[in-house]
Amino acid sequence: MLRDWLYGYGMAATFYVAAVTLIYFCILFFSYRGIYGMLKGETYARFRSLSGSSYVPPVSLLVPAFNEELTIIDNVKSLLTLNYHTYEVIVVNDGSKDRTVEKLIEAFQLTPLESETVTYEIDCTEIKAIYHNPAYPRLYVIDKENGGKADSLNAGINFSHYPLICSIDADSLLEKDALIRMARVYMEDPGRIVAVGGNVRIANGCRIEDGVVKDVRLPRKMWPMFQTLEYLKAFLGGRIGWSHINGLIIVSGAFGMFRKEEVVKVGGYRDGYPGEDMNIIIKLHRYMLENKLPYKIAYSPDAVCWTQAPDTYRILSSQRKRWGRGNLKNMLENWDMIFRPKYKQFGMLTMPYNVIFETLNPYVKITGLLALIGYVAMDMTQWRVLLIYAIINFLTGYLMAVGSLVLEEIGFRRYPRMRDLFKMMGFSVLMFLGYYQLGVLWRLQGHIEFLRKNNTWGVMTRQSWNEDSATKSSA
Amino acid sequence: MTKPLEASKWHEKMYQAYVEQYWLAEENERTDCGIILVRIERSWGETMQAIRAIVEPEDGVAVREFAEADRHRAAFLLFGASWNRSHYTALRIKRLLAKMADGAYSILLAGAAEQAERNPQFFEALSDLFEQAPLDPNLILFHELYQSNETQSVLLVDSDEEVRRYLQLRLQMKGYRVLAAGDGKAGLDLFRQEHPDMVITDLNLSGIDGFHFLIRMHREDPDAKSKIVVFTDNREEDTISRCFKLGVADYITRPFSPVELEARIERLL
Amino acid sequence: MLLSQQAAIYLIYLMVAVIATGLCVLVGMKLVQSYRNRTLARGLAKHDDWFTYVLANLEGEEPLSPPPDLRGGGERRAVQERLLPWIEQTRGTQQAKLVRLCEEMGWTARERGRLESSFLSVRLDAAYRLGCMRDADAVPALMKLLSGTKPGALSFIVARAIARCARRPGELRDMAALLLSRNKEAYLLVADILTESDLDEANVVKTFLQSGETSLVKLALAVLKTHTRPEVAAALTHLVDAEDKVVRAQAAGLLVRGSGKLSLEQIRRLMAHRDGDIRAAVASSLGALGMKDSVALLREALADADWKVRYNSGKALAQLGEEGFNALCEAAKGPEAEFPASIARLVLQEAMGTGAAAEASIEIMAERNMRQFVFEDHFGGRGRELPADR
Repeated sequence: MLRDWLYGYGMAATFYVAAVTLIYFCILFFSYRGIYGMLKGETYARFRSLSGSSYVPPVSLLVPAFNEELTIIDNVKSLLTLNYHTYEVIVVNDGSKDRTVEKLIEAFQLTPLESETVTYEIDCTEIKAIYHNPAYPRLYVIDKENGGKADSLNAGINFSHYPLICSIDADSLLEKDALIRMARVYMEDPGRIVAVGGNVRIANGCRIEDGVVKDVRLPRKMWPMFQTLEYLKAFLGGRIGWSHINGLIIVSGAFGMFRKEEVVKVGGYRDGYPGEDMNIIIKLHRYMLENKLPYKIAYSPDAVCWTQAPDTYRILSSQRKRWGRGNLKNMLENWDMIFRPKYKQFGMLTMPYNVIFETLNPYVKITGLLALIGYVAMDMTQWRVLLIYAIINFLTGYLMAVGSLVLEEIGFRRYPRMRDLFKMMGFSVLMFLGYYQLGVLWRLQGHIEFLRKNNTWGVMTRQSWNEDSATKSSA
Repeated sequence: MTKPLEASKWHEKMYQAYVEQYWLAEENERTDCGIILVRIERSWGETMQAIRAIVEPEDGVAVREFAEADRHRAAFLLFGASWNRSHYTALRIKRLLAKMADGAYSILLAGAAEQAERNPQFFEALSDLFEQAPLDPNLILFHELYQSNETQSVLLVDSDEEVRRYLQLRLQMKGYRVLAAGDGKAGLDLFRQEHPDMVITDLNLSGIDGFHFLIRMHREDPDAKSKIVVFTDNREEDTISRCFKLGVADYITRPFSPVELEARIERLL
Repeated sequence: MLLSQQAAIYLIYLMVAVIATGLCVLVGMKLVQSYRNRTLARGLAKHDDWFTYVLANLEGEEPLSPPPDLRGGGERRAVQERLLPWIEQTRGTQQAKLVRLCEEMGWTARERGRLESSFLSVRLDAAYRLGCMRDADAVPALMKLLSGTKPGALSFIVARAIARCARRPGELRDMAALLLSRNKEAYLLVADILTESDLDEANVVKTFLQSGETSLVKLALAVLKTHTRPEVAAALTHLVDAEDKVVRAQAAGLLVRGSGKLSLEQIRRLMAHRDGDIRAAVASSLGALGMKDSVALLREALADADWKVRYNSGKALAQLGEEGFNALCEAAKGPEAEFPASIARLVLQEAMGTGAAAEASIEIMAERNMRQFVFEDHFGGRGRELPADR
């Protein structure tokens, strides 16, 4: 009896894994047309000229910064040279304990700005001072007490002058064209689009000069390499498909554009928990659907933001646990949206998919494995089931990896060398010998932390871009 | 082919032929003259034969040839050929040489300078420069080599290599000394070192924010001794007025009309 | 039970097959791509000298000659890929010269043929290139392609091509109307597309103002923003009361900025508009334009119910020279917590604070001195601090 049950559960878990892939490929298949349009639209748009067109709406870039003294100057310098006619860069110092503000003031000779008054449309910690220098007309620095990343974004929104806002992580570099590429997507349907997500890629291993990624290479270290493949899969494989059925559940906090009006209406970013980037998107979905407003959350895969991936186990695991916590919190908070026809594709498809295949994923996988181990322990002749389980797990993952590599090859070709392709194919296999399992474990640990009400940000350190490229070139 | 006896040197012959042709022509028929110089180190006879097939006189163009077999060099004067046609002929000869002479050649294209009939030094300078030029598989344009020190200098700052190349070519042909920089930092360095008479810059630079670049130049040069022309894709009116406030002499947007661009640049210099 | 195990095994076979195909496709694509890149680079290197010739001879009447011995599709593509951007970069006779060169080489005819292809990607490619080559004869075929293309990214590619090719305003108007009927809100992008045309886009869209179709009206307003036309003033006055919020605000802004000769009566009517956003927009335009007659009106607006109107009016007064600044100081003397005074004090504080700017021209210095003078006149002392409520 127990044996049958164990066996049945194990097989169910096996097919569960296969089903994830199947659903996902269905989405991808149905959105083929959309992907095609996305890619072609990019090919023939002349971004250089468009970026100077007075019809392109101005954008406020919001850069929350907490203890970023190593990289902030380079990053701001790079943000000031984007290919876009009118934009402002608002750095929000979130009560850093290091010399982030002082460094900014020194480097850009900033002085306090008194000629402007901030209206607090969204709640946020009080702003201590705003700094500006007329010689850098696009740059503003807001200094305020520590209040978290979401709070910093809200402060930035309150100060921002333009109708579009764009959140950017202080440890990321934007490509020169990234903003105009996003704006083009927005301009195609400005009445409905409330948010546009960008594509985040991993810069470890690339040569960076003057805040510009000059030479795209794969990372040399193991952890960033795995993450590169993971990001490729998530951003190209996942988000393109979801965006086509308007079911995107997250726009990366590292690079996303929003219509300010709607963000203000939903009360800005939520504080106190990680996962504020997913939270704002869920809130937007909810607001627009509840008020029966036409809307769209779009995705621009060619608007690229380069970020530094954690390259040690400690930082990576802490990041992933944080993500796990944020995801669980968001799912619990919005439990009511699941399977409610009122919330259309978001409630019927995106949320269930997220809960069943993302949040519950570690539980099903681990219990499935345990069930099968138990079953085999009772009858050693049945060892084949375990093997099947392992192979299915491996193949589904590899299939998704290959799918995203094909998309990359069709649309973007950022890694030009044949060697890079083989390396990516090879590492996609290696991922299953440990990295995947770790991912499942970290998520589980994140959930446990959530239940134990552990709500710290965890470890996070930065390395400066210069140092990175210097060591890379000398290596 | 008639060769006047009294002139012995290569460039003297060219000058003489030029003067003859100049005085022969009626005042209103005096047209352009293209000059193509070639040096061929291998299979001289054969190659010259093939070149002659290309430069054969056609409607309205008279060709004079001055070949010196012992020094492996020859000059072709294309009377009545426009700059366009001379350039195209030179291009065809270059392609031929690349095939036949296998790298061991050089070729130079020049147009007769203004009032060349009164200026024998022009031909002398031309042949001297050609003599010094190393063997080069590319077509050398005379104005790239010849630069007097009194000419005005123009600094180009643009990240687009194509645009830079175009402006460099055109401005050199007009006789300016051209400095080019691909990004803001290099541009600022050149500005400090060379104090150019004019700066033509894009607003969309890498390394330095375009506005900040203008402000920095303004600070270094408060009396605006260097004229600054912004040449950019940015067509936003606020940007334009802000640039003029920063002491910019002219603002030209892309897409552009090359003739208008050159006229506006020349007006300022 | 055994069945499901069997099914899983079949699933494995299936996935292995799909993965194997995927890997082959990947390697194949990479090989094709690197071959293409190599031929492209070779073609560009070979014809580099010809490009120098083209760039050196863009000026002048004489037509350009095509590259000598242009061989094979690879070289043609290479030359095309480099030449077409130059057509996009240039205007006027030089552009016409390059277009003529393309025609002579038979490229235009070739792309017209490709427009009939059964593959969408080829048709789009042809449309893009015909647009670059400004082929007026292709407009009907392009319009057909546009009406057959789904709304979204792809239709804008074709629309841009039409805008470049069109020689008659009617063609542009049809294109804009068709495009907006499917992409209702994309008027800004359509306005940008219209700037590609050699025709005067303001004339093309002028008639849209009276069309009653919101998206067309928005397009017209967007285009007219950069092309001020006094003759449309009547239509604008009408639109100030339109249903759509964006239309109202845009029309009011255009009205104030555009003609510059609005009567005080007209301004008064705009400042009394029921829509706060309009009042706010008008107030700041009055300041930016330096309309000194409106000081009294702006002074009244300091007590407006809408914060933004009050703030913008205050800012506008600060921009209107001595007279305006005087009015602002006057208003600041009232009870601190109430409307006119509170906003005036805020604006005054901001205006007096701008002294931090390191560099200033003579005009700015004069302006600052004026402010200081007026300020001291009203509040005494040499400071910039406003006295607390008396």
